[in-house]
Amino acid sequence: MTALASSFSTSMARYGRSFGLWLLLLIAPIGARFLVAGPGATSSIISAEGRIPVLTSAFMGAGLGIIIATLLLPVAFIYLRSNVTRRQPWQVEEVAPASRVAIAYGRWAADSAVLLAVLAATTAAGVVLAYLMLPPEEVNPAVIAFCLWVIAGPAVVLVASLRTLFEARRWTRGPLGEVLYFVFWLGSIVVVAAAQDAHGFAASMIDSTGFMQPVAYSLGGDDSFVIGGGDLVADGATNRIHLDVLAGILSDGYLASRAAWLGIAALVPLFAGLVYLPHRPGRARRKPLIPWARLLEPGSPPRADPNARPARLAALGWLNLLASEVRLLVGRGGVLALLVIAAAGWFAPYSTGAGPAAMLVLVFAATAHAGRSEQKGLLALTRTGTFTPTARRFAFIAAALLWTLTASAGAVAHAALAGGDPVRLLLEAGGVGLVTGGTAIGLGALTRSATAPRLVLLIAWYAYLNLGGSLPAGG
Amino acid sequence: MTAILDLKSVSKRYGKKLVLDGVSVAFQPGLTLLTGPSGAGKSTLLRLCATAERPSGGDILWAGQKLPGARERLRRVLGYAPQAVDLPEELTAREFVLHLAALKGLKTGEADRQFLALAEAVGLHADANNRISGFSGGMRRRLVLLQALLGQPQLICLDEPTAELDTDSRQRVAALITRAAQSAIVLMTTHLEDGVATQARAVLRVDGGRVQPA
Ligand SMILES: Nc1ncnc2c1ncn2[C@@H]1O[C@H](COP(=O)(O)OP(=O)(O)OP(=O)(O)O)[C@@H](O)[C@H]1O
Ligand SMILES: [Mg+2]
Repeated sequence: MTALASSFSTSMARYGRSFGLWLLLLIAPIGARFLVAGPGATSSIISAEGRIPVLTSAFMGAGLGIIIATLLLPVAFIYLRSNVTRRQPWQVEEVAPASRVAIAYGRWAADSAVLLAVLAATTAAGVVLAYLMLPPEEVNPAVIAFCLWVIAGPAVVLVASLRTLFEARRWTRGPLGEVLYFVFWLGSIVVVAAAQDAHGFAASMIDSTGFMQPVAYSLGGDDSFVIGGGDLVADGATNRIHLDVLAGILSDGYLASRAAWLGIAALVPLFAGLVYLPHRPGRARRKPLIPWARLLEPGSPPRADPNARPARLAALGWLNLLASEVRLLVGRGGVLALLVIAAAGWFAPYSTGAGPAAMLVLVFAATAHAGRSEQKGLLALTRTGTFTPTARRFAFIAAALLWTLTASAGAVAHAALAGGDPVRLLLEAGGVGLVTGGTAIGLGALTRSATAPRLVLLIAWYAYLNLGGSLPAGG
Repeated sequence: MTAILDLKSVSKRYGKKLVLDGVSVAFQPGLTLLTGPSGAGKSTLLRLCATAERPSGGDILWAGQKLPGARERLRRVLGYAPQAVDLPEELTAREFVLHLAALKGLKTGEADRQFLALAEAVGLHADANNRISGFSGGMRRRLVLLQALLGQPQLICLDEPTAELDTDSRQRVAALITRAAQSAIVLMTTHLEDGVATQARAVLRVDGGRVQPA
């Protein structure tokens, strides 16, 4: 067998034997049921001019495709990065004479195949739903499949490509990879939304996710549509709007742009193989990318001292547990970051300044800590300790709570003295701490990696940042 | 005839730390043991020889040619068993080894034949088609050793292949390594005074950045 074929087939075998793949294949069709606005629906993920689009075969396919290609892409990225194939025997593979390009293509093909299998499952679900929701003569499985795959196919393959690319370099194998993906994902949607009116090949090439043209084409001009639950006009649910998505898909340059994106995605593994950099062997800690990035990383745990006196607080076991979780979470540089943020709260409005800043630092610290402490071997070790892993997880969440409460100190003090609403600030800070801590440790435990919680929390952080501006200022 | 691996004032530093300081040594066919205290740089030396890392200074020559240039040539006849490997837990031992064989450019049929013979020799034949996730520490060790011997390599770098093994397995492994050393350069680090030691043509001590006969 060639290196390419072997990389592909071993990856496929590993995917097939993991429970995550079957969960993903199950989630897609179940999700489809809730994503499609059937005849009686009163809300819709996709709306145009404040109305729900009329359900047709074409819109069934395009709608599911658009939702996958926009809202669900981070899920695909998370899945690829945190699933079974994230651990590779690089220690022996990197001294093999095989070409890195061949290995990259083999793994990329497997990643793509898995995501395309999800599309297939979603397509099947779409066809079934169409038969349930539409008169039988209006159901056209070929049109459903065509619209769905043209939009979402290149988009998900591009996710596999980025995963492959990020695997090739040292920095992007870690947290920076998730940050870059988040920026790319957000950027691709924002850029497209800014170019709504343009048509043709060049305009479609801006849109790697492929969602714009099919919807915007039949609206024409500067009509607005919303993905992700916009407000409907009064009769927006009953008096629906007809979107001819098929016309948009078949319009000038669109199909060519999808083919071009597929071609770009297919070239990325070549590039990834050429720029591949071996892992850093040995046991040294990764050097942070930029000196101050150390602040974002929890330091290594304190060195064990066999001659240390027993802790004075040993009797207060719970308090000790909490203290050690706080220490692991905050790390060495964290204290400084925390103090800076807490102090900044005095000067800037909390919900757009210190609050999101505190959450962002916490996201990186908490997911790194959660990813490390939820490793299988370590769990086996901690299970033999005084505290169960569950107790430790609760202490972890409590530590995250303490983090955001501490970070809000400046803002709370200012609010209390200047006649603001300190209680609301404390609730906000506490809520963010609980959600961040809970998500980090919950998803970390489920996926045994830091990738999933990190990306989910980055998206939540972005939402918080935007939401913060619309909250009443408390500081 | 097997080529010779020649190190000429090779040094390796990590940050400010100089782990190897101008090491000059030529490795001949046969078994060479590398001993020395923990953290002395034994694994580092093996990684350099196995092309897993590049030296910070000096040259490594394979069959008279300098390394980055001769790297592909060396890799085609190289077997490397690192101290730790992120094994693909969901694959069976056989699938994992056949995958590495494919990366080494071996034909599947030939690779499978060699795999079965080696699995027998290291005592993994009963578990050949079981998933690695169920393997014990000693079984993993033997699996990593097994893949290093695949394809009759001419340079074999083994990082503590006998750690975690019971007496019986250790004897099997020692016999296998001795046999491989008849036609290849075998570099092997070890802490223990193994049964293999008597078979070694050289025992070197790595300490203080230098390599000296023990
Ligand atoms: N990637 C790395 N970055 C920084 N320092 C490293 C790195 N790899 C090894 N070192 C350091 O180099 C020194 C030698 O390490 P090495 O693993 O080669 O020792 P060793 O002799 O194999 O020890 P052991 O017997 O415990 O396996 C150690 O002090 C180690 O901390
Ligand atoms: Mg070592």
